[in-house]
Amino acid sequence: MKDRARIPIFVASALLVLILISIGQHRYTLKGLEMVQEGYSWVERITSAPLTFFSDIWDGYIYLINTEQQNVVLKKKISALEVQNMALKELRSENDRLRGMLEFKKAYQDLPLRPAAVISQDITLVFKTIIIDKGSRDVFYKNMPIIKSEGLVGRTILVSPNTSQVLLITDVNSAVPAMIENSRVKGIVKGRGDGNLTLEYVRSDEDVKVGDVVVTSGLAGIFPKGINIGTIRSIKRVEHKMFAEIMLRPSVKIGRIEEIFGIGRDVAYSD
Amino acid sequence: MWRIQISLVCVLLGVLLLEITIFPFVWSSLRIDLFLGMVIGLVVYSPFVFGFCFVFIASLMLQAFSGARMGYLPFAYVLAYFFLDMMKGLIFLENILAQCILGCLLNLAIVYTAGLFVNMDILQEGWLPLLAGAGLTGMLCPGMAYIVKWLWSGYEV
Repeated sequence: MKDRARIPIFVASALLVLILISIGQHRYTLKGLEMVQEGYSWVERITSAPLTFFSDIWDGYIYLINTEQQNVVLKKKISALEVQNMALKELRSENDRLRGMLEFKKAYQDLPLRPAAVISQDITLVFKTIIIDKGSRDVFYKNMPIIKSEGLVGRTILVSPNTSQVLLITDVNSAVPAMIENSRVKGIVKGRGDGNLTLEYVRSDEDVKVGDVVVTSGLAGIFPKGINIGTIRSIKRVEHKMFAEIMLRPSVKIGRIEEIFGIGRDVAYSD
Repeated sequence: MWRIQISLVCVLLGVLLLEITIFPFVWSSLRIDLFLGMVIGLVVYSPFVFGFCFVFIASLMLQAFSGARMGYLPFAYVLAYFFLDMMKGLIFLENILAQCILGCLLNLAIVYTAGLFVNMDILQEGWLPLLAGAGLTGMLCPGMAYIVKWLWSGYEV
């Protein structure tokens, strides 16, 4: 390749990159990216099939050597849990009655949860997204809230027929309307990119304490109200500053996500 | 020429499987950039236009697996490709040590500029995953470059 040709190629590629960055605001509508994710999901499925086969053999036969002893221990645990369960059922029915009396919406009793598994993580260290193995064929949709039993994980930003890309709450581009569970003080939870979160736009004079639980507020209509986001780990109040600097610890261990749930559209949103 | 392109795409799929599924499964904060080794291999062993086209298209494919704004990954890798092409005239890029050092430094540069784009301090997550990722990227770069060389020489024959 002659040196003279490199300059036009450099200029052309610079222009192309500039155009791509300019249209980047609408990246989530690009069909090309969905097709690449779809293609990869098939590669991942084919390559993981032999591993699944051998792990099934391991789990189903070799790993069962000490099963009898485990069985005895587990039966004891089950009987203990059954007692606990009875107590919890009583508490739940009491809770139901109280809710009915207060005319609360029973949004979380019938959450249409759709399970999915994580198949890959973000290719860069800076951005925090994951790709899950369910897409529009399994009624996953854009901006679907993604949760685990511990709390909020994020929301879908790109949905193809068999895969979805999820923006985690710890990503720097993530913002979730939230409130402190006890004091009902509202704010916005933003990701820091390092696995922690910040609660922003909370006035310095508000009643906020370390250890307070932060939940979704239901504002903006994406996340249902009351999903656990995290707990406050530190508060910094600077004189002459209107808002406090509040750091949160996410309730979900983001680095250890394997199975998640998407919340279907037919949730009754509060607010 | 199309056969080597297909082979490189297959290698890229393997790289993707390692980078976004297997390595994060071992350590969720670990990101090893094997594609950077392919970029070095393409700069050293393939014609300029061929390598450029592959790097551009492949980096667009990588974009599908990142939350980064559209255009950032092509920007980073095309810039790395031009930088390495320029360095080819200054240093002996076939040297394994040179490939290791360049791979390590370029990985750090790409992560740092990504952090700048979103106004984030990349050290917030800690030194260890960053340095481990950069170190392993550097160590694996000659291997990836060798794969490109092996493919190129095989099809040329």
